[in-house]
Amino acid sequence: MSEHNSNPPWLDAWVSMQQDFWQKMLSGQAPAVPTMPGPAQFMQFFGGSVPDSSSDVSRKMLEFGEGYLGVAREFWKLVQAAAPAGAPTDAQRLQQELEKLRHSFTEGFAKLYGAPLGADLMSAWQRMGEAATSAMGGAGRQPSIPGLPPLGLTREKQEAMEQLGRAALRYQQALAKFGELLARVSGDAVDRLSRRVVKHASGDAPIGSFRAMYDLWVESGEEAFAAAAHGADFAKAQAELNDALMELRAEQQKQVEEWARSLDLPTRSEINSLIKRIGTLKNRVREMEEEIEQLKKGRAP
Amino acid sequence: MNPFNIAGQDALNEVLEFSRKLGRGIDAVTRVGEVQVGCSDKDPVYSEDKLTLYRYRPLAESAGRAPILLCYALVNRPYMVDLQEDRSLVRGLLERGLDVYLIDWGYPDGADRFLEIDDYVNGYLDRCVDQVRKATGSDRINLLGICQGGTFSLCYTALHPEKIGNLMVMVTPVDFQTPENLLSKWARDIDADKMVDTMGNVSGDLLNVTFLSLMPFRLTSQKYVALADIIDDPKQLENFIRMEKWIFDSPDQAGETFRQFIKWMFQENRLMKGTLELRGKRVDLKSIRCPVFNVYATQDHLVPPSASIPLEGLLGTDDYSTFAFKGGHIGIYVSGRAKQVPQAIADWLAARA
Repeated sequence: MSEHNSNPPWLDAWVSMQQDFWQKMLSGQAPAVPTMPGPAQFMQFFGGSVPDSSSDVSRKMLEFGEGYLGVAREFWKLVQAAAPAGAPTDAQRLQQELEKLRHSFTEGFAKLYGAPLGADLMSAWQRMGEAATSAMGGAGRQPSIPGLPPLGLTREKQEAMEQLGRAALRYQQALAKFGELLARVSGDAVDRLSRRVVKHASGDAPIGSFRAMYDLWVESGEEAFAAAAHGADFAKAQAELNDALMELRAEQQKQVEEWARSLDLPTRSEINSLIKRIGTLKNRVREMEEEIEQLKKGRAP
Repeated sequence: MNPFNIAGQDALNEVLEFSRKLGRGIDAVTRVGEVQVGCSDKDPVYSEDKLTLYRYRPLAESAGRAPILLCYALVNRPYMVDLQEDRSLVRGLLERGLDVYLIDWGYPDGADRFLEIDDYVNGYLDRCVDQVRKATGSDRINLLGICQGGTFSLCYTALHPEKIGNLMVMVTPVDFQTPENLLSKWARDIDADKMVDTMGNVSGDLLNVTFLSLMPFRLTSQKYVALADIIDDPKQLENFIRMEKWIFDSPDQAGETFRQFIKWMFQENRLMKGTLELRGKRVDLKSIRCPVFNVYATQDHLVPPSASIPLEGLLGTDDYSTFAFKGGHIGIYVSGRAKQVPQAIADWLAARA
């Protein structure tokens, strides 16, 4: 890696944009420009020149930089609420602002915070579910009258579709329940943060920077998450989400196998049989080789 | 009293400095290029299916000890033990005159989905041990198992005690059901049968989501914000990216092995209870009578010390030592204190020459 100490040419323009935003923000005016460009806009600076091993890091840095500045903006509201310019400390307003913080963190958790918990976990589960349904083409459609017994020539297909529909529903319900648990964690995190802020109000070491406040938020978040994650409810909700996803994928696989069989294409089941046969043969050959080795040793003078 | 002491100008300076650092950092990251992993020279000496056995080239005069075979976990890639010159367990051992071999399990694919723990322990690992014995003329070699590879190494040594002179394990779980073990709590409710029957191999991405979920605020957010603190140091930045590569370079797990590991270890705690059987033989850790060195990390969130420490009471040896590394599961390879580990291993082996 080469040393490179000069700033990139766009940096001043970008910082100037930030300055404009924050000066308005700090003086209580409604800022007209965003805090920072999103990842897509930012990447225009670089075109396709970002190496693979760096692009993910730079994307993540942008996302979390955006999230961090968003959190700083919310924190600034708290700072102002605690003691508006030239006015004494207002405990009641601080409490009100903490309540607002709870609302904005809970409601817009993933977006505001740069997806610490919500997006990374939930989107991973969603992606897996989407992979299961999108690959099915039309197979994911609900049957026209769910619950009615399938009849006639297409009875088996109708039944399979119903099972698929039930599995998709179960998965959506499990995903929603898991999302609720994560939202509760973020609410608890704000409660814990509030208690920490109040503690600083009664102590002799006030919070001196956004970064210190952010670190308090992370500590609060980890505590809240650990409290939930070690509980039986969390493990069960996670397990149910996993099971529901597996059921959905299993139903999808049945459809794909059926389709492949109808076109005389190899199926996963057939490949599995072949792999097992090869495994058995390999073991048998190895045993025979060992036997031959032993026999050779026995014959050696 | 006001809980905050943040004046308007200070706030402005702070966010602008952060923005500036972030911008410089993103610019710097785009110029890092592809990071290199694995720094010590090595030669493949045996391969089978996806597995490759490597022998590292010596860096110092031989200490005259039996060779060390490193058995890494199936989760993540083994180059973590030789990440870069100043952060390399392997290099630390080579510099002390030890002869080091490493098993690279490779990336399992659909053809490997029926591989079982028995295939890894009594198959691949046994054949690698035999290769090392044959190549070096040593009846007994030294085995260093890491994390899940440590669990496999314990099983192996219990079943093949005649081939192992000294056993070392690092951040290795033995008791899979201690209260601090969050991973274990989650794994106990998972229907492993359904997962493997449906997915075949279990994807590395899914495992990564699980590992990040153990400390989501720190591992998916704070560390990227903290990156702003080191952004002006190209070396630290490169180290960071190298570590990111390792974290997310996660092989899929052979389905049957995953199924057995979840059920037998996490859910039934068979190794701890002495009820594990491989190829019809009970894995009795009391059969391990060679010297054993247990290295665990005091702040390990993946394999808490409580999961490793009970090993002592399960072994048949009187020669048991521990090394409590002050750090975490990753820090044991890459932190400033990581150099203590090869030194501790070399000292322990020297005392048993």
